[in-house]
Amino acid sequence: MKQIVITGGKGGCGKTSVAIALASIADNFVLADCDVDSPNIEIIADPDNTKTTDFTNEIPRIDPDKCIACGQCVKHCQFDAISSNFVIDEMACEMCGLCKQVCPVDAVEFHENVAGYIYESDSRFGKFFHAFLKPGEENSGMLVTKIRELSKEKAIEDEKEGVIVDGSPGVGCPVIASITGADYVVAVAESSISGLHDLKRIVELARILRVSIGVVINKADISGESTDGIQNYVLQNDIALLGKIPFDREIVDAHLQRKSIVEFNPDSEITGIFRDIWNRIGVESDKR
Amino acid sequence: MGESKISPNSNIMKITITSGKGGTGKTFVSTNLFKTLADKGERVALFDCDVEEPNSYLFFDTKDSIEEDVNMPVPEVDPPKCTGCGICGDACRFSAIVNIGKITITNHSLCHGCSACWVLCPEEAITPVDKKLGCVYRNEIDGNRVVYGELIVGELSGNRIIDRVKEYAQQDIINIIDSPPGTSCPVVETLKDTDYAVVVAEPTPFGLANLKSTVELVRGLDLPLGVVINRAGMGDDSLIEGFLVESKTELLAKIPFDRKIAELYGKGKLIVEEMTEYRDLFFEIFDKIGTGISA
Repeated sequence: MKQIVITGGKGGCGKTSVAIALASIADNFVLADCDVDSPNIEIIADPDNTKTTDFTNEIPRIDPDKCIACGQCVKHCQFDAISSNFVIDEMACEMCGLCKQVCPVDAVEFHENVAGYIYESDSRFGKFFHAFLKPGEENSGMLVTKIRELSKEKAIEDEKEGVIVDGSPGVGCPVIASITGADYVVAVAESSISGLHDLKRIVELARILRVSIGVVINKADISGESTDGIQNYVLQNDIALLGKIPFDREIVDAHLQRKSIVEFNPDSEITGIFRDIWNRIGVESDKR
Repeated sequence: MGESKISPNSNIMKITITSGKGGTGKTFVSTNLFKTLADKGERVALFDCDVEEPNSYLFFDTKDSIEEDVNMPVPEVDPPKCTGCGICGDACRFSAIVNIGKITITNHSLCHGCSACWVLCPEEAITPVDKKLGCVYRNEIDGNRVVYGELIVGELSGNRIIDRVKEYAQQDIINIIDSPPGTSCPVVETLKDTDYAVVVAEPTPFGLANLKSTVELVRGLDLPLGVVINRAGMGDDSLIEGFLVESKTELLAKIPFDRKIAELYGKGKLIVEEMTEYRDLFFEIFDKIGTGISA
């Protein structure tokens, strides 16, 4: 059972395009979309939802009937989340609960709040886990962890080889939650100076979290200089270069028809490159 | 600080460039809009709040940056004073401080800096110490301010850095803010106190889905907004245009898909410098934003 996470630091570098292409090739894997801000695989996968689980958190509210306007909560809140008339701004609140602890009249109560949903679905790519997080909600890292747990359990139950996880951009909490404890990370790097800059950060994160990482260069023919820069960086740091994908509008055409490039044109050169990448991932992820 | 929702500087004009999906062209629009206005002699500043992956500074000469640390208070336990009462461990909702018998252990990587442990400790055995989260970098580019923040890799949240970057916004000038992608907490933090949101979208099924969530978020915050379609013609523009009509959202501009733009951008060049015909397009975007704000 191995968890392979597709990530890349920079937004729009091609994580989802790569994830669905690999999911079309991989036979015996569960697919999980952990980019909870932009859960885009469902647009292509046309999932048939079989089970929905609420994703809940607990948010504090101040009972105006009990509140004596002493101001202790406002004074102590580190996140400026409580207004001068004692209303908690849910978007600013980090749910630390200090307001409840310092309230002398027990006016703060925690209420269960449905922040989003986790879906288990059947799809052309096999079992597929995805989620919806309401805009502005906290705890995306926690939601990512839940999706990964559920997809891993399913993979074990159905005796699958593993899980392909599509991650989110950046290096913050949802990305840390996506990568922690994974078996292999595939970083997709766009051929641009921004792509190299962001790749270096995701490689550093993988090192901190002690997860092995390989690199796919996307849109590799857009900037020869940047592609060379990325290749040199990968070589110098002893990172596996898994493959180079040229820019090809056919990938966009495939998505417009709600298909991965592998489904859209199984005999194309690009599909061949993805098959090679998947084989390399198999070899590299077994090396650990 | 109770009035936190009302900016103390609400006469400062802030335009935030955002998107639901990553890689749609936020930094591309921010940097080129900044350069166009600066060249026209407008007083303008650029702020990169995508502190997880700040890229806008790569397009300018920023080697003379002024660097400033951004810290967060985290707990330090004084063992002789600690009685092992367990109040701190019970209060911490992030498992950043735990009590094992009489020993209290902190894990700063999980800490949100909420202060509960040191506020509630009856023995005054816990004191806050600074932990560095990242840096803010300030530059002057041809007399105009360019500020960006960068989160240290491994840290969970850059919200404190985003706030610090935004503190450098100035009165009586145009403040352009480059936002992180998505609809979660860092984006909300960036959009706070903004006057206008420019949402960049690409004409693909993914672009449409993520545009919808961003429009919902921005409308929920009661901000005026307009949409720039980037890489127009690469996919199917009608996907986005249909939604804009249906949701009564203004189209600010369409930037055509052009391989040359991608190549220049990939090298760290600004297209308004290399392909000057695009200056009018960015100036037009700015005019429409002005009308949107005063409406």
